[in-house]
Parts: sequence; C-alpha cells; structure tokens
Amino acid sequence: MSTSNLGYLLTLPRFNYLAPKTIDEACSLLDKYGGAARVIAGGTDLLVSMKKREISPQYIINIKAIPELDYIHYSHEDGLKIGALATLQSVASSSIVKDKFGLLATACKKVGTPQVRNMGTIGGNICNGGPSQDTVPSLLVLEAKLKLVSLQGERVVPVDSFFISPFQTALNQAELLTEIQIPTPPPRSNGCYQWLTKITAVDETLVGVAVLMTSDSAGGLCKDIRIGLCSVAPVPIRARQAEELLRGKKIEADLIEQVAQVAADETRPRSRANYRRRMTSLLVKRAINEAWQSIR
Amino acid sequence: MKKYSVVGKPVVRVDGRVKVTGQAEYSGDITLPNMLHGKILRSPHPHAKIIKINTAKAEALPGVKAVITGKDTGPVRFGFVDTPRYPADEYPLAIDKVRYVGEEVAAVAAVDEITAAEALDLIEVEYEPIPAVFDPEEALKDGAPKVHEEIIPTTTCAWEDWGVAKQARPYKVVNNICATTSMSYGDIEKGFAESDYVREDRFVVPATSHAAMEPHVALASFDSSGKLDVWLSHMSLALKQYWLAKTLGIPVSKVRVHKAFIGGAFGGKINLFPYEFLAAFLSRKTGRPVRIVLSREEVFTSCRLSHRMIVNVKTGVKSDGTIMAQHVKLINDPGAYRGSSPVVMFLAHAFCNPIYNIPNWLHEGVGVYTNKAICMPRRGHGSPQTRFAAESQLDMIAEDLGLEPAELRLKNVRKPGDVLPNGDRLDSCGLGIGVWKAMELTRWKEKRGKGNNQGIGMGLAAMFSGAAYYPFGSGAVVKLNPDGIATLFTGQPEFGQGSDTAMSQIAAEELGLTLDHIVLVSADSELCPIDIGGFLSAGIFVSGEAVRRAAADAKQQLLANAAEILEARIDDLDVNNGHIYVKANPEKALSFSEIVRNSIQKHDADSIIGKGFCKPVPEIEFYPSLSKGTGRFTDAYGFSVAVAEVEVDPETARVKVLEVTIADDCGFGINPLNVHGQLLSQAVMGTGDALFEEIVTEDGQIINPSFADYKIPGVFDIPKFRHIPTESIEPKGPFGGKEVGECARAAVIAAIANAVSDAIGVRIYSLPITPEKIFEALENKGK
Amino acid sequence: MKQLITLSVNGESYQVAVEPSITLLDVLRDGLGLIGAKKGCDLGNCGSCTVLLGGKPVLSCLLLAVEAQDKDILTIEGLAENGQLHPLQQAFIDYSALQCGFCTPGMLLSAKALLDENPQPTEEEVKEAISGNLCRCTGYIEIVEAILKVAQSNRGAE
Repeated sequence: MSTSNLGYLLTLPRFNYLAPKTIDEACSLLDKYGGAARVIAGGTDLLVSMKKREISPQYIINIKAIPELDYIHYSHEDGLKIGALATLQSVASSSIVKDKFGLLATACKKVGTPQVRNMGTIGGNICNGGPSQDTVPSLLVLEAKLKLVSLQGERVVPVDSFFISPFQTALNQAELLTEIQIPTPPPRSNGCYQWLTKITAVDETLVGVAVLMTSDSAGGLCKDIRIGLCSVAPVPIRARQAEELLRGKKIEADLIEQVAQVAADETRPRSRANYRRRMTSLLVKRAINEAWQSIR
Repeated sequence: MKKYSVVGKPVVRVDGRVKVTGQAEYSGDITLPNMLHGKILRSPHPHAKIIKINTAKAEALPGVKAVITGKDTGPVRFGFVDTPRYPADEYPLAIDKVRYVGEEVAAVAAVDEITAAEALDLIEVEYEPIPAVFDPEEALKDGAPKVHEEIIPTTTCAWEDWGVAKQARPYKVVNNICATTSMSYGDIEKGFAESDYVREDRFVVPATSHAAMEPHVALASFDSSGKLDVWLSHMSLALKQYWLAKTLGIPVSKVRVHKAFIGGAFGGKINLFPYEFLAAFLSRKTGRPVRIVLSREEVFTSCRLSHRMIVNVKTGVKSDGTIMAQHVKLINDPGAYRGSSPVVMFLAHAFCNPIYNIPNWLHEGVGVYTNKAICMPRRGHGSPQTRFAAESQLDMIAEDLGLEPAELRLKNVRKPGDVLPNGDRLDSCGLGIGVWKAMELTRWKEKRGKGNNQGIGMGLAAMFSGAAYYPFGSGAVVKLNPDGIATLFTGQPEFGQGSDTAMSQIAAEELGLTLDHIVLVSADSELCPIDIGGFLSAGIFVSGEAVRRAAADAKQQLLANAAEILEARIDDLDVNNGHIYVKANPEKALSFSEIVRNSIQKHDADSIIGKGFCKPVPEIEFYPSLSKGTGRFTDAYGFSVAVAEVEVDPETARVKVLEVTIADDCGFGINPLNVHGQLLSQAVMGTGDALFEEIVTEDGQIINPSFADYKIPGVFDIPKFRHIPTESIEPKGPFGGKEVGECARAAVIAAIANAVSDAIGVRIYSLPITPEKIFEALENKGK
Repeated sequence: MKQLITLSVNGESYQVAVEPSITLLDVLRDGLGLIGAKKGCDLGNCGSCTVLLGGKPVLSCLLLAVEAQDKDILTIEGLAENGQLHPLQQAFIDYSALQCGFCTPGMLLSAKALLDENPQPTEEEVKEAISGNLCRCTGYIEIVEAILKVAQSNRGAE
C-alpha cells in the first residue's frame, strides 16, 4: 500500500525481515518473493526511500550476514575483484585500489560522508542505478563487469549495459550482485575522477567525470581514452564521441578543448542544463590533463 | 575600564557538562508515563476547500486513542500578530479550507509513531482544489485568487487581553493584502530634488529555513484538575503560555511551560505552532500526555520560513556622497497567513534608521498573502533583506560617483549621541570605529578594487536590544540560601546562545560571588518571574538587567543586615567573595551564610530574597505603531560592521568566502566566549544565506525540504573568522552590555554580496548568489 | 512481528523485543532510554544520530535495530568513564565547541573514532572526520580546534 502522500512523516512502513546466511539462501528468497522483496546492504539508500514512502517492500533481505561477499582481491592476471558488500570506506582506503585503480578510490571517497561510507557498499552504490552514482564513471572507464547470481546460475554483465534508465538496472528481481570485476588497465595507463558538487562542498554530485588514458610506448600519443560521466544524463554514460576524437591522437590543448566540448554535447542533463554542460566541458578538460600528466 | 571578577571573563558555559555527556534532555527526549505519540495530517494542496473529513476508520485502528479535526479545535484563531488592526488569522486545524501545502488538517494520538502514521493514512479528506496564487505581485492584482476573505475575530484580540484598551475588529482582505506600513521623515521629494545623483534598484530575497538541528517538538500533559504542563522547543515562556491558554480556553497561569533543553532556535521557534496546540488538545481529549515530534520535512514546510521580500531602494546623494534621501518599498510575501508580516516590515525600517543619518526617508511596505508556507522571524528579522539591498546599492553609488565605499559609509554613519527621528538615542554606537578598525585589520584599501576574481566588501547592520512586546519586560529573583549560595530565578530560555551562563555571571558579579555559588533555575514559567523571551534580542539588555537588579536588591539586604550586625554604616562596608566586610577593618567580616542565618532568626524568618524588574523602554507603554513607525522603540542598539573577502573561480563561478571579519558593538561583553560564538555563528550563517540557502517552491510545493537538498554550511564551507572586540559601554545595559545575537548576520550577507561584486565587476540582485547567476551577469555585462 | 534481539551497547548487553522496522536510533532512545543520540533529520543527512559501531561512525537512523546485533555499539553515554569526562568532552567545554548541544553527541563520537584510528590528524583530516556532522550554532571552528587540542595533548603525553 503506497502512502506517498504521507512521505513527510518519514516513518518506516512495516515489513518482514529476513537474514540469509549464504548466497544460495539469498537467491532462494529473491526467487520466492521477487518484486515484493528488496535487498538491504548499507541501507543508506533503501531506508531513505522507504521513509519517504517512495517504496514499501513487504520483505527486506539483509545480506550482510553472508561472509563471502566482503573482500578486495587483486592479482595482475585477474585484475581487481571486489565483493559487493565491500564498504565504500574499505574500497576508498584500500592500498591496492589507491595504488592501481586510484580513480575508483577517489570516487568511493567522494560519496556521502564518513558515516555513509562506513555503511554504504559498492554493490549498493551500483545497484541504486541512479544517474548520479559516483562510483559508476570510474567503473565505466575501467570497463568493469558485474557478476549477477540467481537460482538459475550466474552471468557477467559489462557495467555499460547495466544501467537502463534512472533507477532501473539490468538486475532482475531474482538476482543478486555478488562481485565487481575490474581488469588491470593496460601499461602506461592512468586515470582520475573529478567532480563538482551541487551546492556545498559535501553534497550530491552535480557533474562527475572519470577519465582513463593510455599512452603509446613513445609517450606522445593518446593510445586510448575513456571518459565516464555521471549526473549529466538519465544514467551514467561513456562520452564515446568525445573519446573518438582523441583516440590515437597527439595531446594538444586545442584538441582537448574540442574533446571536452563534444563530451558536453553528449550530455542530456535534466536540470541546471546549461551550467552542467559547461562544467562537463571544464571537468573533462581538467580530468584529461590530470590523467595525462600522471602517466608521463 | 572597570575591573570585574566574573563578567567580562571567558567563563565556560554552565550547561556544558550535561550536554557533552548526552544527559541534557530536550523535549523530544522526555517520556511521561502513559504517553501517546501524535502525528499531523497535512494538506497536499496549496489551495482547496475541505468538503468533508471522515475519521471513522482511523479511530477504529487498534492503538489509536484520539483523532481530531477543525471541529474539535474550534474557531479560536491565533497569530504572532493579533491586534485590532490585524486580527489573528490562523487556526490550529483548518476549518473550511486549506491555504498552503503542509497546512494542518487533522491530528492523531496513538500508542506509537507507526500506528499514528497508519492512522493518518486512514483519514479520508475530500478536497476541492481551487485556483491558487504563488507570486505576490500577481496576488496583488484584481481578479487574483483570494487567499483570505474577511477575517472576523471570534474573541478578544491579544492586544486587548494584554491591556491595550482597544477592541478587535474584522479585517477585510483586499487584493490579498495582509498588512501595510508607511513611515516617513523629512521631505522625501525635497531630498531627491536636492540630490546630485539618484539611483533606484530592485533586490529579491527568497525564503530560507532556520534549520536548527533540533526539530520542533511539543509534549503536552493535562492533569485531572485541568492544568496543562508542556515541554516545548521555544523562545518565550510567556507567549507560549498565553496562546496555549487562549486556544484551549484555560487561564494563563494554569499553563506551565517547563524548562527543557532547546536545540537551536534562530527565531524559528518563536511562532505559535499548530503542533503545540494539537498536542494539548489531544492530551485533554485522551487524558494522557501526548508528544508530537515533527519530522525534518515538516519543519521545512510547516515551521515557518524567513520572509520573502522584494526590496526596491531609491537613494539620492550629493556628489560628495552625503545621503540626502532614501525611499524603500517592500513587497513582503509571508505566505498563506500573516505570520509576522507587519512586524518584519516595521523592523526592516527600524533597523535601517540607526545606521546612516538620512535626513529624508520614506519606507513603505505591503504584505501579500500567497498560497505558500508561512514566514516568521529569522535572526535579524527584516534586517538581512534590507541590508543586502541598501548596502549593495551603496557600493553601486560609490562606484558610479568614483567614491571609496568605506569612506562613503563613514561619511554617513551615525555617531554616539545621535537621536533618531522616533526619539531613540544612541548612547553607544560603535559603527564609525568599527569601520575604521575593520578597514585597518583587513588591509581594506590595499585589497579593494583589485579585481582578478578576488574581492573585499563591507556591510553594516544595526539591531535593537529588546522592544515592547508581550509580556513587556522581565523579572528576576535571587534567593539567598542558608549556606550562602544564591539561587537565581530567570525566565530567559537557553537555546544555545549562552543565556544560562551569562545570567549566572551577572548575578555572581553583582553579588560578589564566584560562579559556582550561583544555582540557576531558568525558563520554567511556574518557578520563574515574567520574562521577555529570547527573540527580541533582549536577553542581556532586559533580562540580564533584571537579574542584575535582583542581585543588587539581595546585596542591599545583605549589606543592611551586615551593617546591623557589625554596627557599621552601609557605606563603610564592601562585598567580596561571599563576604561583607568593613572597608577600614577587613577582619571585621561576615559570610553570606552568617548573615542569612542571622536574618532568619532576627527578622522573622526573612531569608533574604531579592527581586528586580526591567522594561525594554521604561518610558513607553506598550507599542510603537507598527504601521506608522512613530514612538520610542528600544533603549539601545547593537551594531555590526562586517568585511568579507572572497575568491571567485572564473571557470566554475563558485564563490569561496576566504575570511569574514566582524567588528561588533555589543557594548560590554558579559562573556567574551559567548560573544565570539554568536559572531562566528553569524559569519557562517551569513555565508550560507549569501551563497547556498533558498527554499525552492514549485506550484506551492517546497521541493527541497531536506538537508540533502537545502544545504547549510558544513565544516568545509566556512570562512576564516576574525572578531574585532568592541570597547563601547552601553550605560543602560547590565555592566554596559547590549545585544549580540542577531545583528551581524545581515552585515555578513551584505559584505559577501559586495565582495563578490568587487571580485567580478558585476552585481547580483538576488540571493543566494549562485554560479549560474554569476555567469549570467557576466554574460549580460558585455551587452 | 516482534523479535528478540541482543544489543551490546556501551559494554552492556541488552535484550529487547523489536519490530524489524524499528531503527537502531529509535531502540536506543525509546527502548533503552539512551537519549544522547538525536533524531535531527532521520534521513542520514545531519549526523546527529551518529553512534560508533565496531568503532566506526555510522548513522543509527539508517540502521535497523535488527542489523546492529553482534557488534559493539558506543553511544555518547559510554564516552565518559566512571564519571570522568573523556578528553574530547572536556575539550569541547573548554574550547566552546558547543552551544545548543544537539549535534554534540554525534560530533564527539565522530571525533573519538578519528583519534582512535589516527591520533595525530591534520586539520584537514579532522574536518573530513566531522564532515558528516552538521552544526547550525557554532560555525565549526572551535570544534576543529578542540579536537586538534586533544590530539596535541596526546602527543605531549607520549
């Protein structure tokens, strides 16, 4: 029963609570209850939505008791594997992530506040599916993949096909996100995450830009460039046209300006549109410069 | 400068320990036996008729103990302004129509919050939406939807109850006008005619939220004798007592407002709120205590905002910068009910008068009903809006005429000894010296006008130290105890500003006791004498002076007793550290304890009780005219000079306030820590007002009613801060003190606006100053 | 349907019967009478409800009580020991780092978590640690100063 009229009260609606101990158990419950159930990880998004009476799930499935979902593993061949329940704080402070996937650490550190980062999980941040999720641009440019598990088995979905429309992802009702898989970037690569907030310093992201660049062995050409944007379109996106302009070219100020402008033109912001486009252009330029400097 | 032992010292606050340990009980922390939880059903429409309300299903829900609607709370209206000219226009629960989104329609008391929420969902209200009006200039036009028709009082008005012998009369609403003011001095046309240069500009200030960290809350408990006990988050015992009594139809003295900790107020908790009445109505109906804690969203939508204003300023000056004339026209948009509209328009004027010596002025204001949330005082109440406009324009005039803006201000500022047109005399006035010191400390001349996206700006403000408003004054009692410790009774509410500490300091100093020899009983309406409250900037100047007088009275009695015992004359005696001794022979001394015990024995159990009273302006009775602005207003003004330094990022148009310097004339600072705290608080709050804060409404609905979308400064948003201490002494204030809590905010906002303009070379005419407004202004500059 | 849960709060074990939909904040305040954690916004934006869970600052208004079992919870009531104020509590008093006091419990716990993990933080790190705690009264400067002073005196003590 929706009580959306009374969202101002901020009281939680009643629900049934389940706490599976294994992934299989969780998948069984999801299979059984489907759309009437929601998974709770950090709870920082879910409980807010429920208090505002945007959703009133009958079943809440707490997966935090499942031990094998909280980890950060790295090997050069397999890349980075992060369990969906790794908190944003643990990813942000992980030395391996900071060292080899720095832009993701930066992005995780940007989310929310210290309290939110202690509670919120990277899996939760991704499954929220909103246009402004800070972790996603980095995952897009790192070409991450997501492991989704259900009773039917498991499938691996690339991040850039995971987001369908605002708050709607490819995760179906009976599935659980268990792992984020990030391949090791090519040699002579580096990236960064830059953002501007909406109003104050600690605030939602107005424009988020992640860039990953690879230089050729001589160090003069941009062998590859990936640009990920959040908060400027219905879902986080890659600015592929802008990437095309720079891929394989020599880095020059005029070209970067152009690339930045094309990236801005690829955005479809819903509000504060002019300012968002202008800032997209600015941040793409700054991010490209920062990423490029950090390779050389 | 006289030497004091307790006042003027940076004493740590007396309520610090209880707050840092989490023991302090705020009203929402208090649980009474058998307590119920209340919740309120609010209108989703900005303007609608209420056709029918069916509460049967809600009443039938297990755990629900009472459901009330407008027919239960009745036709007694309330309002911050309830005078013959402006009868109160608000109801605890809507009767026949709703006028804004969030207006109270029904209320429920249940065994827990979840049940109360579920009960609200079962109340069926049939509304008939009707056309609404949101823009005040549209609302003024003929044919605009009528927010109110005629307001017909059903009882005596507050003024009548408070002894002003006039009768309530109906108010016919024409063109949605809820209030008008018109005040003038000199000859405005002549003033403009004599000016060499005239400038007219229009500024717009939106509604903002006080956003105190503690949400609004009321706990009400009727006992079987019909006595009402309440715990509230509030700013005035007397106002709450009076209106609760009136709305519920019980004697004022049968309402006890208990002492409770209050989590910030900033003017946002002075209003009379439906939730307070509803907790009491529900308690009376159920015979059980009822606690209503509002959600943060309810605080944003229904607990009043600061006044929306369109400020039109026209100023005429001589070519040397001497101000000849100023015409200010305000359009005030207080929302669907009058709120404090006539007061804010009066104060917008009254807070301008003490700053610059303007020989000819005309201040006009019109308050207009719209179908939006209601506006009430917020820290400065009218001053921030008009200072933003007037100080911005002064800078523009300086630029147009090639004059130095700080010098321009110095040329026109008022001086100590000035008498204002209404008769108020500035016995202390630190404006001129404040400007000088601020210029010096900030290296103003070096930095001003450099451009390059760095700017420095100045703003001036003035604030009263108490004015006539119910209950028109404060009293205090100092009771000596047989152990020589004094108990101080004062009704001043402590909501963070440090009044508990300051009052204790004043009593201690006057009595010659150390602070730990004062036991404080504060803010309980049954135990404490009348108090003017903490919303008129009267804390130190009025309540503090009452405390000092009560302590002085007790001291006098102690001296008289000591003189008797020591066989000396009072003039030969002195007081120090809980003892009275003969000046010429200090070994001849008595402790307070000895004196009290002696008095009990020798004077028929007189244990020595001192009392003191103070009125804000002793000579006047009741009020100045809010609409005409005549009559004495306050006995002392506080003054602030703020200088802000900013940096604007040319690529993002983001403004960073680097440093705020405030020279504040608060007379003698009773507690330098409190003074510093108040000014720093306003430096940060002003930053928020200037750059971040705005209540955004779409079709009458507030779309940012949460801290996620309405952003107040966090730790990374604050400027560096410098305080230039005052050295003025206000002769009529306790130990020379006067107001400090709400003057500077307006000066800071104006200073930041002027600094931004200095940095980027264009003017923003509305608050907050956003990056988009800056880019737009820069783009238009070329055209 | 209520379930019986065990919460470990300030070193003591409490058994409470709770609906799953009740937050840790509400259980602390209404169930256990620990009113120090405050409900400033109930949506996780203000930090007044901050408690330490396993030593880490979390928002108790966004944690279900049933989720908070099996972890040590520290509220403001557990900060002083045997009536002896924690150095941070004393510093907040001494350096005027509070006015109305409503944000103070959450602020103190965020500060404690910081100093426990990083005894010598930079000013930037202190600000970062309290960036999720809103204060409307003080303007923050004295709060940062109080925390740094405690860190400084800890350094002196070593």
